[in-house]
Amino acid sequence: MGFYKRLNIRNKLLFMFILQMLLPVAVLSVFLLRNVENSMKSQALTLSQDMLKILELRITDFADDTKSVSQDLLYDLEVYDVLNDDQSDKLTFYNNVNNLKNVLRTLTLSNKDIQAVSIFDLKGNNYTYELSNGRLDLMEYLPYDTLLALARSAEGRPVWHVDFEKSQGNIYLTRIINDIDTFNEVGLLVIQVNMAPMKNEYANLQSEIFEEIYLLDPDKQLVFSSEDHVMNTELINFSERSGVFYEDESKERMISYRKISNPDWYIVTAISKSALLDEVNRFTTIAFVIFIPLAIILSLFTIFEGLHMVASINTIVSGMEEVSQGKKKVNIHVDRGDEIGYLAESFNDMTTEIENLVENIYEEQLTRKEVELKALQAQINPHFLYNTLETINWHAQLKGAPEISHMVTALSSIMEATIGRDNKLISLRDELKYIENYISIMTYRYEGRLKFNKKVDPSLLNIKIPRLILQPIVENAINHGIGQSATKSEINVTAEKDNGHILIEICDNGKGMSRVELDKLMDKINNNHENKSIGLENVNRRLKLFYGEDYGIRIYSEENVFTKVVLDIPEKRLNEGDIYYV
Amino acid sequence: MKRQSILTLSFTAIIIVISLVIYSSTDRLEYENYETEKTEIIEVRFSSSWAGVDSKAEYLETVIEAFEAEHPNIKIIDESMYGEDFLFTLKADFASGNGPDVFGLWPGSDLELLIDNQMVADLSRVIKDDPSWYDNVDPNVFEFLDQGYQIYSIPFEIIYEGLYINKDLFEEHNIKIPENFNELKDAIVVFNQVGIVPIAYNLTPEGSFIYQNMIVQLSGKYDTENPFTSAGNIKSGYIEAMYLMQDLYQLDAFPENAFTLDDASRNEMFIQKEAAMIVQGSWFNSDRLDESVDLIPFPIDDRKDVSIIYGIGNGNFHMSKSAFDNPEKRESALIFLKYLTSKASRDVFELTSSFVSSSPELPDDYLRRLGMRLTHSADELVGPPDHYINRNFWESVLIKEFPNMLEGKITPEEIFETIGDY
Repeated sequence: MGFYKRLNIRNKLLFMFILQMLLPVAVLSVFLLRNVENSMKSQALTLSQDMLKILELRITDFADDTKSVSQDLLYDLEVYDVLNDDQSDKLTFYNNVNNLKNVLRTLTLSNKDIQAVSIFDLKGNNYTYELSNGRLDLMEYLPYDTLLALARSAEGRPVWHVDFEKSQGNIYLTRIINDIDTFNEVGLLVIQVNMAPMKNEYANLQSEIFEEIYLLDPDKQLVFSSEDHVMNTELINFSERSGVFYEDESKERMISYRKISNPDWYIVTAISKSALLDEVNRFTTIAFVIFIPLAIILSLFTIFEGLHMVASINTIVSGMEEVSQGKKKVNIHVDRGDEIGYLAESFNDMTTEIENLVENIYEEQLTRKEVELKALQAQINPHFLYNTLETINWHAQLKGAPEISHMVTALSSIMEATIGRDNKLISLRDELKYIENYISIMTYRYEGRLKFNKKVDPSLLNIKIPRLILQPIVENAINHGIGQSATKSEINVTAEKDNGHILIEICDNGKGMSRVELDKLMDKINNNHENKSIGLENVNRRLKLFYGEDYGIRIYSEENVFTKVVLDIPEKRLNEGDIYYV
Repeated sequence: MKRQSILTLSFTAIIIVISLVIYSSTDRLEYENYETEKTEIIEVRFSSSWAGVDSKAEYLETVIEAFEAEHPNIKIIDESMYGEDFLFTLKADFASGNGPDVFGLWPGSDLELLIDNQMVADLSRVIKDDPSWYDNVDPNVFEFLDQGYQIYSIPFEIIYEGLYINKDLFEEHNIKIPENFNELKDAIVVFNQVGIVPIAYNLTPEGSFIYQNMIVQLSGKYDTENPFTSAGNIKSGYIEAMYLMQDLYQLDAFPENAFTLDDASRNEMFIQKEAAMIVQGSWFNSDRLDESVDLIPFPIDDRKDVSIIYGIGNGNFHMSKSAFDNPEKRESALIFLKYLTSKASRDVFELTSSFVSSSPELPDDYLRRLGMRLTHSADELVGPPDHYINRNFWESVLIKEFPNMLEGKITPEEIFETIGDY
């Protein structure tokens, strides 16, 4: 496992290719070829056994026919007439012998499997009809003594004998002739088999695959073969009805045999493996000729594709390395429509997003610095001012001037809120308190012409909002809406939830704005123009930076009626510990 | 860990698959052998004379069918033959070691020859070990067979012979039923006068029953069953009977075409009431004979003891020794032999009245009752004479020369001159 783990992707792909393609192909090829070979051998052997069964039937028929011929002879009284004739009457004997010869001739001529029929009497005389010569003295090549001994041991039943002493495998059926009235032995019947017709039939059964057919006697001596080929028959198992085996170590020929019970012989056939598998071998060669080039082409294609995939991955990896080294904007090019292409595309999107985020944060910080700078430029040292205000408050209280004390305290609260630059969010409640202090001072300035109302959903008092976003708007409302009016002015602040949004409205009943003026103002705020009205623009930018482009301020106004500024922020809970640059 | 397990399992599976492929691809020599292990059927060869037109042939067929249905692993090869060829074929088969496993053969010289040549199995032990089998045969029949301590034969069928007469013809022409040879001759004369053939007879071996019945009445049991004198000459009863045959022939007691008449036509002559008498055996019984028929001993001399030819028919069953000694066949052949001689088989054969069982049970039909009356009336029961004379001589000489003897061209003594050669 460790070895595989350490491999790079290219080598892993190669390894998987070998595993997934070559291994199954190799296993499948071996499996198919070997099993086809085994199957063909099995079918050939089955076929050979079927053929041997047919031959067995043929031989059994032949044996039964020959036995029937011998039995027919024993039913023939002409036989007994000759064998029981004491030859005292030569004429009678002559007639009897002639009758018997006619019988023998008829039998021989009517049975194609019979070469000769001989009947021997107890004196050794024989009465024979032989197919080719008509009349032949068989004693020259007929193993009379062996046949007589065999026939006697069979007690009248027919018995087969294959002679290798006096001939090259002549086949005989022999049986003792007993007199039917006394059951005494009176002669010997010998039928010599003519194997030529059967041999011709066997020759017809031969083929390229079934090379040879043999007939063996119980001593495994060759009764006959369709070819003069010496065969290794040592492995024939006498106890089995049928069987198969390889002829020798070369495994070139398979031997299939079958035992016949009547007569007690074996039929054997040799199957040429090369002839049998010739078609398979040819098919295999063709398959390899087709497969090997195809495999090479497929391998090249796979390797090429694998390498291309690896190259794409490497491109992504390089891009990632660049990012890790600090480069913000990395654009990689991978021309793929698959998952790797999507990965590269996502990587590019990701670096773009990172760059945007970084720029936004940078800009926000820049904006805040700018605000701070402007605040410093516009104001004297807040701590000095704060301390001075505390001194004034103390003197006012000593001199019994509560209004001054009240104003100074309010101013001091405003100062405290202004210099509390700890970058934390404040609650809406604190922001409103700050506004109230501011209004309180402004009320003194406008000698009671200013009235402040607030209507806030109590559940919104604890929400966290960026610091000092209401004050610039209220200041604007007083300066631009009320400051120039001689009538009593009202400033209403409301805060409510509206479908996932929080709307904070600051509305005054001052001089308002014409449509043209309102559009001009909105243009200024949204397009970030440099102008004096830093308050509204600043608030708008901070809201958009903080909450997103979907949020900010909206202004509604009607000339000589009202001006309403709406802060639209999301109803998003912010925790106390969260740190935001606002 | 999970991935590693999956990989390990996958590699193990691959190795197993490859191992299986290698194993299944090993070079093996196999072949399909369609020789199903069917139940080996044992063939039992059977032979009897109950074949062809024999009245018991169809019943034998029924019995064999029933047996094979009961014993599907035993096949009976029925080689039964009707007529004269049966005996020749049976002997030729035994002579050539090709004898049937179970066979029926009437007692006589041929059976003795087979027994003497140890071709017939001694069943005494197996049959006595099975009382149900042994008791199925009348013990008197076993005794009649007289095979000593051995039991070679299972006598399933008995036969008897006598003179079958058409009673109605005798009554119609007011002829006395003969009780001696003279009365027989008188009846013959009258029947000839009224144009009825007196005795249905022909010159085949089966026609010789009349001659055999004469021998029995003339010689009695001992001389019939021991036909030769100590000097080897034939006893007188065999000669005298031929002279009596000449008397009847000269009286025109037989059909005009007796020399060429076949057995079936001869029988038909009696059945159709064209002939008044016929000498026949129990196998002649059939439903074509009614109560107008009677059965009497052949009338020779009413002062002498009545001797009736009685014996075992061809339903005398045996098992060949070769089958008995063959362990593959012995059991099956014995089962068949037992079935063949069982009550179930007897019930089938008794459907024909030509079959008379050796069972001790009483017969229940008219013809069998006639037979019973005949045998019970006998002073002695005698085996058929042709069982005691060499069969070859009987058929080749005696039957062959009978026409010459009847015509007076050869004397009875001359016929028996050559019997010493057989």
